[in-house]
Amino acid sequence: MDMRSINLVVKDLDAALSTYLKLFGTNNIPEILRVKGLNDGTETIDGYYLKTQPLNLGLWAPRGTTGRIGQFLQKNGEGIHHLTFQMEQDEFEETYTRFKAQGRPVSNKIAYLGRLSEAFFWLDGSGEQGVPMQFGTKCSRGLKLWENTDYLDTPKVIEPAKINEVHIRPRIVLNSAMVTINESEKQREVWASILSREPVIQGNIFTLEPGQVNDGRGNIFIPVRFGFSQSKGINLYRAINPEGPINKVMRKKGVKGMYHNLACYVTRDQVHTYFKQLEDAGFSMVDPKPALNTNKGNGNYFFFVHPRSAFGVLWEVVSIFIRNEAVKAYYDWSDTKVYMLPPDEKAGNL
Amino acid sequence: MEMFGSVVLRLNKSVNKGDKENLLSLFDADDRFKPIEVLTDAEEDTTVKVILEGLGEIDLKLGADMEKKQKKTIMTLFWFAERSKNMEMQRKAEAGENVTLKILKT
Repeated sequence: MDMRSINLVVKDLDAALSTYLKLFGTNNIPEILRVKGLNDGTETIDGYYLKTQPLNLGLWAPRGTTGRIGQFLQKNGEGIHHLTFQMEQDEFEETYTRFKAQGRPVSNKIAYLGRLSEAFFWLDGSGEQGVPMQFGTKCSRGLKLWENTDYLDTPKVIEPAKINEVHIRPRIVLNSAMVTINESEKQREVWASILSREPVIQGNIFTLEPGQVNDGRGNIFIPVRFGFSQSKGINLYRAINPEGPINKVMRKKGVKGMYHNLACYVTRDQVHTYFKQLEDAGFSMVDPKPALNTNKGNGNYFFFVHPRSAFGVLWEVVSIFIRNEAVKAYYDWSDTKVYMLPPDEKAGNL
Repeated sequence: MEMFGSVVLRLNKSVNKGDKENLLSLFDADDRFKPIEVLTDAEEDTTVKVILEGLGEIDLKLGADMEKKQKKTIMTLFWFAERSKNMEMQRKAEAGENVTLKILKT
């Protein structure tokens, strides 16, 4: 299993695309697909699929208000709807069967997208994990579960989009989604079961020692991370102070979990340049400048872009670092040009 | 004192004389992100006087170097610790009332 994409629900696809071209820079998106009439057997959506790296970014607009994504938009407004995980076909079919046996709220039927030979199923947000998730496979043979599959002539159109805008940004890597949960131990087990892996403790991202993270805005987290290939991952945050803003929001929404924000990583000597580019482009920056994270000697800069200017998504931008197989973090100097002391090529032992 | 910038904002709540409020509690997101043109250069940590006309005032530190003609907002002028500092309301005011926020460089 691997993380494949982060998917947003929006009302105005072209406006959202224009915004995300400005956020990521056209130089950081090798390909954009225009998708029309994608039907999962329950609803039809249109969208753009941006091949940001290593996680892709889907922008989707539902045609109706009664399907999964349409209802979400009606209830919650624009923002993060789901993550998509890709598996090999055997694992995909085993996972669908396993989730059903565990009583998880998976789709009644697998959806087979005929024009792509791709199969998907949903894990509904009403499940113990608290957020909608999608699982898919690129089929290499007929499905064993064919009797439990909707074979759909969909999408009606999928083709490379022609983009005329040009926005040049530093290298931006999209690899993390942050999820907040309301119960630590139980939720951690649920997520570990769904993702078929154990999380690593993230109190200190370099040593993996346990610890709390104070975001300076009233939330105190205990963080763990489910790591995937190419430094991708999901950070699971339990906000431990009941009166913190995040716990208040979750109580108000009546949810067990919530996609809280997305994180992308930028060339280490370009963080301040990128901040100014976004500010000049009209994004709603949350602070006066990038903040230097001094927590446990972190040493990365970070800043946030407010959801009001990013179609309901809170974006966190951090100095780029990578993670080794143990999910320990190391600064990534691979494309940094400005320095007095050159980076040690052996550092990180990756 | 030199004028640093000004903007008209809309109160998102009613307040009474003596209430303790701050720039975050008084204004919703649209107003917190309303552009304020910087009228004079200033360095990070410069103390400016923030005046909500007739309602209250407080000294806050700028969160970054500022250049004349830049467009800033409550959020990009001040770090959270500054913009969340309380000031005492000098009069009663109703939600929806427009208030001029003036920033003076001391």
